[in-house]
Amino acid sequence: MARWLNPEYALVQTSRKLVRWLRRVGTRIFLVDLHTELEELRARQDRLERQLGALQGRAYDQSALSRRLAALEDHLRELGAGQAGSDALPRKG
Amino acid sequence: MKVLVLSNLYPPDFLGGYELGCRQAVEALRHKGHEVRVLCGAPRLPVAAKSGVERTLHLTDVYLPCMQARYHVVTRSLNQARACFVQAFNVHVLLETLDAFGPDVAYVWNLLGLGGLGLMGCLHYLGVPWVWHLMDRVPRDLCHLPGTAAQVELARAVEGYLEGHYLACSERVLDENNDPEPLLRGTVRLVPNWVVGWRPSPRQDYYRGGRLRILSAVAHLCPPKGIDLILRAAALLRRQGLGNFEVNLYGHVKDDSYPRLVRQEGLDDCVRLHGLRRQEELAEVYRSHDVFAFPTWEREPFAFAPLEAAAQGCVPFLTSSCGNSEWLVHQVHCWKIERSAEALAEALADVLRGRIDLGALGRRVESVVWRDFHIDRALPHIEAALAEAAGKRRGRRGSAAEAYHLAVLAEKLTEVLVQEWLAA
Repeated sequence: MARWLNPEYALVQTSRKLVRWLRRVGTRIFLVDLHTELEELRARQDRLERQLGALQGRAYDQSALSRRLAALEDHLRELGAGQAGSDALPRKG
Repeated sequence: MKVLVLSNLYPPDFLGGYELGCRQAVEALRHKGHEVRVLCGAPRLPVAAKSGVERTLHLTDVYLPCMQARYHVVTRSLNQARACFVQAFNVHVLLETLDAFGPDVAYVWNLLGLGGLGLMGCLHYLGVPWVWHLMDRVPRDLCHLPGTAAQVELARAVEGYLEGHYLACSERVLDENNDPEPLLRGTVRLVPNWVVGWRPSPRQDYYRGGRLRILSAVAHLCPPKGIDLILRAAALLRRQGLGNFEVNLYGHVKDDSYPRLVRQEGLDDCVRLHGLRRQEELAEVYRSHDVFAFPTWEREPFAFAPLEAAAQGCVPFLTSSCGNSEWLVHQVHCWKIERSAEALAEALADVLRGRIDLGALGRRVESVVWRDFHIDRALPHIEAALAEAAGKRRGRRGSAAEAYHLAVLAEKLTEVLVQEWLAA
């Protein structure tokens, strides 16, 4: 009862409650901010990974193209050599 | 040449394309007149004895996740260490085989489960030249003990005796083995995976509207191979009102999860799970399908099945950044997509709406696969690598008895270290 009569004590108690409440609100705001930032970072990571995957896919397509071209050139050379070989053979008549 | 092939499994006991590819390479080498002996792990199920195949190595089976999950952490870690690091028993068998057979070169495949580092260490110690055919991240995985950070240090330690000759099916598989630090030292040749057999008469019936026949074939139906994405893409197509298709999935069904997913998505009338089929049977199946859906994970080294399907004019729809994509060109030999159900559904919708000409793609890819991806094209590269390695026989560092003694010490030390680490 005495503590309610002491205005100084009541003020201290109220201010303590206020500080606790502010801390709780602050922590909540901080957590919401963190959560939002985390979501944004995750979304960005997903986007970047997709872009990276797309870039890698294009690089692989470029490799595939080079390899197929090289293989075709090899075949052409083999065919050319075969043709030259058959030309060199003695012909009938 | 006398070639000793080392592999964890050998068909008819197999997990996937790696072992089937091993058998095809062995048969092709024998056909060319090489004397080939296969030394592999004891089969997981009974198989008939075959001349030239010795299934005498002890296989520590770490391929069964359902069993691994039930083991105590100590048992699991010791199993993993035996599978990857050293098994003195296997070193002993290898030493006896080397002595009896006297190969010019060892042709190494997947060593996971055999104490692979010990076998490689033994070859290195005795100066036996080797060629390692990489169709997966095997050397890197052999340096790995789950739950520890020892991978980088161990890889650094073994790098010295992993110097040799490598054949790799894609740049991707090389990059994975050399990540985060270079692990493979020596000569590396890129040799794409292959198809075998004779080219049938060119396919005539390509998709020209009507019911689209989609399939996928893997050893085990599982999420990494994109089976979930195929089912979700099928559901998406249905929701867009595009229902004129069927999906046939071939591969071992491990549990009820996929049949349940099919029922949940209401796809019972258009999706069928057929179970595992033999490679030879699948050729006919591919010929009667239009699209091989393969939204596989990006670390796919180079799957055989899409290539075999392509050889029958069945057009692969692939993840754009997987190993297969390094060898086939988008919109020329295949259709490449981002790895998602939405991207697959969009591509399939384009086929159903007549925006993608499967006939042109199928004809081209069928022709290119038989021309550039037949095993007869790959074999000269394999032979060249084996001959080159055989010609560079290294100096012997010690006797077979010393190699075995070292293996026994290494095995005991590994067991003690793993148990001490887990007790700490």
